[in-house]
Amino acid sequence: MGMGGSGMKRWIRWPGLIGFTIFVVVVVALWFLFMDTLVRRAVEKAGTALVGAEVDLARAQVTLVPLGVTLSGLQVTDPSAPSTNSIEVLRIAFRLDSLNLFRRKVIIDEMAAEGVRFGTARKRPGKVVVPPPKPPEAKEKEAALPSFTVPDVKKVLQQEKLESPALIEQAQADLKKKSEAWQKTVASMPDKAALDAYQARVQKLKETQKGGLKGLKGAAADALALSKDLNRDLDSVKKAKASFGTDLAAAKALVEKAERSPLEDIRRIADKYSISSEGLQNLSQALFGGAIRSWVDSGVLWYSRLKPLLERSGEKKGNVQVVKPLRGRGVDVRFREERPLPDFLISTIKASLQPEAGTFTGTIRNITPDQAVLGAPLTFSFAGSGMKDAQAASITGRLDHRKAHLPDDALDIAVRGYQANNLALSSAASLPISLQEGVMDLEVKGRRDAKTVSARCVALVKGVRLNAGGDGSGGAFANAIRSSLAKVSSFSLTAEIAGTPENYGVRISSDLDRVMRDAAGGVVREYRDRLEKELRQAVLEKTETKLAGLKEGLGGLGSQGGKLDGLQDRLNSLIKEAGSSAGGKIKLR
Amino acid sequence: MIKMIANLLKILNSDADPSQISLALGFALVSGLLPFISPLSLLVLFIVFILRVNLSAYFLGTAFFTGIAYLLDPLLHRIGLALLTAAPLEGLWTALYNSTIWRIQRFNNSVVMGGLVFGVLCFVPLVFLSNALIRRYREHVLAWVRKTRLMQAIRLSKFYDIYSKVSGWGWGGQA
Repeated sequence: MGMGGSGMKRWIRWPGLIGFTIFVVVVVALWFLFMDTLVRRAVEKAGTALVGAEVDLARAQVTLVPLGVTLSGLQVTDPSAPSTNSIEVLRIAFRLDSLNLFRRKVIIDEMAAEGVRFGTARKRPGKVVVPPPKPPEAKEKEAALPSFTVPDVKKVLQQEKLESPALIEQAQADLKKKSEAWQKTVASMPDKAALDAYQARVQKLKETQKGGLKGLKGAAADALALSKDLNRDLDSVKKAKASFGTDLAAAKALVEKAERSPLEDIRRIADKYSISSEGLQNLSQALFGGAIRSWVDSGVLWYSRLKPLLERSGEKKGNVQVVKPLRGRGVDVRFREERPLPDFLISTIKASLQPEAGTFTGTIRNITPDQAVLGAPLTFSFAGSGMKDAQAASITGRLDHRKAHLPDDALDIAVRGYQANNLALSSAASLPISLQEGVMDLEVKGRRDAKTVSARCVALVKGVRLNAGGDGSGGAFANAIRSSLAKVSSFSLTAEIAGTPENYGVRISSDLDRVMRDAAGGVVREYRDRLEKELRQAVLEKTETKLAGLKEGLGGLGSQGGKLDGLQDRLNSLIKEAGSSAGGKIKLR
Repeated sequence: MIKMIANLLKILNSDADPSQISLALGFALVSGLLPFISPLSLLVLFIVFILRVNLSAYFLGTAFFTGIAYLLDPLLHRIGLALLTAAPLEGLWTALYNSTIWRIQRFNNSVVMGGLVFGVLCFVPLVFLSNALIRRYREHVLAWVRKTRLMQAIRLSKFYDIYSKVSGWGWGGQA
């Protein structure tokens, strides 16, 4: 016992109990002391990682009984415009379920967000950790707008590849080959010497006929031989003529195509550098498509950034699920729970949004990356009240990611009597269009599932005053559009978005198209005529000589046909002559 | 780094019992591989304080093994994931998953589980190995080290005075 006591004394250090207690107390005290700072830093770090741009929090305050957190002055940098905040929240307050927190589950029953504003200026630009992807349509957007000045045709022809010269050269080469082949064929036909020999044989036959009965007997054999020879040659000439006819028709078609090719080049280039009739049909697409597309892109970008709040990339391994934790290293393996609860859940957020239009109040429900565990989708519903710029507005939506592979999202926005003021509709440098004033009714309905995105946005605007810039830039076309838009008092605009989540198209239509088409039609026709005239001159300069050579080549080929015709006539006349010299007793053909 | 080496030399060259230093290193390995705030870390800390192990060696070792843990992350993740997804152990993990204390421990994280298993498995070999090495060091190298300028500078420092006094009443590990 004594030895045991001595051994125990050798290994046990009872004062250590005090040391341990002091150590733990100091750590806990430090934790309490710096808890607010720790929470503030954690929010900033997690927020920055989620959004991809600097998130700042002015103050965090943690209360222990009951366990709650109040965040003040939250600023989220806009990744695409770092000197502004995409969202700024004055105050966020919530209580945490402390028992579940011990189980590493962040469960917030109700969160209140006050003073939510968008697009506010920052004191200093925020850091962008993950730059937003550059929309690939940026260049296309500008290119989609028609050019309003007649381009320098020389420069255009340096940039554009003319197809006609190559086509004419190819046709020339084909024609030359054919012509040479037919020259050989005609040369292989009976020539003048052969025909003279036939003539001599016919003459001999005639003379033999005069030599009485004995002569007649020999003439019959000669006439038969002559008939065979002449008919053989005539057959080969006829066959060659038939084949030549086909070749000549093909050559003519080739020449016609080559003759048309300069005009096709002119039309193609003119279509590209001017406004076609199809382009005039849908000017609103060219003018407003860029701005609307950038709004849609911005929405899609935010959707992708906030997606980790809707679902977590998890992998099923047997009966368990392996998920990447929101924070920390490694992966978390999730096992079956007796009472399943998401790892992170905000049941309800009551928020008041304060965009420029006025105040929106509403709720967001079921924010969790574990919708499958919760068994309910995220829903939101906001309504505008006491707004200075609109009579009524509502935004409702549902983001259903309960089945991660089959998401089903829906968004409805309805705005009535929105007093639009200086709303940029087109940012095209050559024709910027803004809605100076007007009363707008707007309806947006959108859906997104795993494979498709579709949305329809209809805007009806009354009491319109449109501004298309007044500096006279853009030439006659832009001026015509400007003056036509100045007379517009109401219009409707429909944007239809369709495609896959990765690649979608925006199609715009508007009754402004008719107004602009009528106004700009004359200007466009004149512009096109001028461009075509200049192009014609330049293209024909490059192709005229070649075309003349091609026609000459066709004439050369045609002359081979003439030779065959002459040969056939000569053979036919020899056959006739030989037949008559045989007294008509021998039928030569 | 130099300070760390100096501290290590101080501990090795002190009169502290080699078994107390090696035991401290074993616990340091477990603490270094576990999350700082967790029930198991607290338990290890309690054991370290209550048992007569060398505290300096423990804290120094914990700092060292915490750094090593970051380098071993990929390995620990693989070990942890393999264990957590092993079908025969699913029943055990499910039971632990539904227990609050184990959820606080965050055992279901691949790196935490890998660290725990790796730490526990290496605990005994590390204790024995470090014990043997310290003994050999003191037998064969200590005399030479004591003559080095670095060691003489350490012995003259104020910190060493304090350390010697403290170790005298047991906090350094020697009774």
